[in-house]
Amino acid sequence: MPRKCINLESQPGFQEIYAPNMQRAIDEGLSGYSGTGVVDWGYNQDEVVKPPPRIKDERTKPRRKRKDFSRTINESWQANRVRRLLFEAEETGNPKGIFSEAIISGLSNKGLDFLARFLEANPLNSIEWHGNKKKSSSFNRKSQGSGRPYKTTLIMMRGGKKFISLTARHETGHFIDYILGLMLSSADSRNPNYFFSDLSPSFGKAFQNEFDRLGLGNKKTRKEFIDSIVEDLVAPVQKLNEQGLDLDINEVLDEASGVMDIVDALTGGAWSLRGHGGGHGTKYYSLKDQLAQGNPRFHETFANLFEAWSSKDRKSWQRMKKYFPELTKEFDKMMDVYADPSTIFKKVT
Amino acid sequence: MKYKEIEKILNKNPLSVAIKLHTDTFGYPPEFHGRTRIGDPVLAVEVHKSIAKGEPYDEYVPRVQQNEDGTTTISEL
Repeated sequence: MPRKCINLESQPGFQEIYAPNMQRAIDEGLSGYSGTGVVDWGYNQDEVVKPPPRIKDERTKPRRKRKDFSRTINESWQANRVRRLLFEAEETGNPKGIFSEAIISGLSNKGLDFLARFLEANPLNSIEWHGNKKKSSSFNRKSQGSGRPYKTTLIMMRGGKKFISLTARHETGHFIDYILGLMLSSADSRNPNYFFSDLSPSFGKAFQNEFDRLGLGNKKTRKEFIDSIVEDLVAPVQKLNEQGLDLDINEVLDEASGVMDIVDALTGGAWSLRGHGGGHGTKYYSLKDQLAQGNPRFHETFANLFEAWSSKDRKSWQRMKKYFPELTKEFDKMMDVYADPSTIFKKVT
Repeated sequence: MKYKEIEKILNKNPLSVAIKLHTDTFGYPPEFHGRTRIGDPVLAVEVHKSIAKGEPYDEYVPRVQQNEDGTTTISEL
């Protein structure tokens, strides 16, 4: 490695250096070598061995070091940035920081970078945990009077670590869809309940193209498509089980819950009607309030695409691409801009 | 492996059993509020509890709710 010699004493700010131990080490190291062997530090070190007294001042008061912000081994700095930003949100019903750990554990580096830049501009207001088994997790926005932005809250049901991580990404996907909508156009100029997925003509077009491509308007082809997905996912697991392994098919389907959820959204609840669980159901996907509240089919599709796109597990996005090429192409196109580290998000909340 | 064979396997999961029992008892499936997990055993227990009480399981909550303070809350599940 090439070495560069500099004249230390002529460097700007040199006279302001105050680090007695380091200065002594340099002095000792130089003694007996070329030059004077003495560095002019601008003061006599023997006279300033003790650090100058600290003056109590609110502005210079050190902040309490939070254990929660320490980076774990092999963790990227973006992860810690997301943790710090989510710490700003009010979190109730669980120890503070549980949500950030859940989401960080499942996010890829590009997902972390995107979310950090996004939250920096538009922070989430609150996170509420509950243990009511009958109440689902959700993304809520509460009006706060005219002219004031909605209060955003993620409602999370407590549960298994793996599923919580998945749900955390899903509900964050709704939050992003909502905020991106505000970036497209101010809530004062249009229906404030609309999300990005409602307002973006190209997203709606991709949804329709996917619907048409898969022939979901036809009962027979719709059934065949759903059958083929389940066969694709379950058949290899069953084959391995026949060879003596004991894999849980439900867990495999859990991994692909985003795919099944989009199938449910595209078909207005056809998957949930099969009665195995999964999806949101026909009532939720009813479009009778679409004009007033936005299209829940678009909202769920966006959230599931974000859940897979931002996942640490690369296969989840590959799986989405395989089944929904039109939707993933559109989402990738959008993320080419938003996931670019140089993109700065507009503050809209 | 055909879907019919797969469906036989899926039909054995706890939630499928609970949904079928609910449908047989009340004539229609339980109404879930939001996203469910395939085969979710915890939700299955809740459905069974409801059947045991003789009450259909319906946890549907409208997406738009009026709050007491006059504000509105809208949910995405």
